[in-house]
Amino acid sequence: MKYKNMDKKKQKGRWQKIHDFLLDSEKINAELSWMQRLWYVIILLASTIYVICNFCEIVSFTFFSQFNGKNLIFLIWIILLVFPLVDNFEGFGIKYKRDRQRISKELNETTDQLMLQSKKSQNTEVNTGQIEKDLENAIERKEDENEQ
Amino acid sequence: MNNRDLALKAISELTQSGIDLLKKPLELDDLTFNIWLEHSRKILELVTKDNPTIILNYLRLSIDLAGNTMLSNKQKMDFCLKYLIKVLEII
Repeated sequence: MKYKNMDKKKQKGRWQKIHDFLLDSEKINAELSWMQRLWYVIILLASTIYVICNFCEIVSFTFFSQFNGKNLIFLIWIILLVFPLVDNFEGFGIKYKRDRQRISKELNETTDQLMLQSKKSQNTEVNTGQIEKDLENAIERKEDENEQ
Repeated sequence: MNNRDLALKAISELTQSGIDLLKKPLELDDLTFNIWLEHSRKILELVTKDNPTIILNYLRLSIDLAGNTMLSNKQKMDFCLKYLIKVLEII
């Protein structure tokens, strides 16, 4: 009986952990990003091995005649090689933005902080000079990024 | 000019217009503040269509500020400007 009760408690603990994990969006996001990276590495390695093994046949392909699965793997391999260099892509009905998740996360945090600050700072004076300085710095940084 | 440049230009102009209002020595009246807030919401919505989180968080902040009766309009605008500058920095 004692062992049965202990097993039930253990199972309850496991289900509770799974339940907590599913409700924790930050943990899920962290796990997903880790899996995405691993999956990318696996596909890249597999396609690289395939391309190296069939290099002569794959390189001498044409788009219109004798286009087969091997050629498709070669094209996917090239896309995978270029993929880490691209931040934003829009075209052919596909939209890709690498920064979207990071921006969302940062803005969620900023909004929470500002909302908390607004509740605490009721009699503080507005520092216009500081805001103007922050704006100038932000614009300067953006201009530097564009020049680079 | 691509979408990102357009967004940067619009947000920096919007922030500058807010700073100009803050610089005025008199207290900011409700009408002027509400017009600026509505204008800023629309501009932000237009230029950040590809990432709805930006406007959603701004709406969340502005609604929270609207419910805070202890803050003056200038203080509320200060928080809105801080958010806009943050957007400018990270997009």
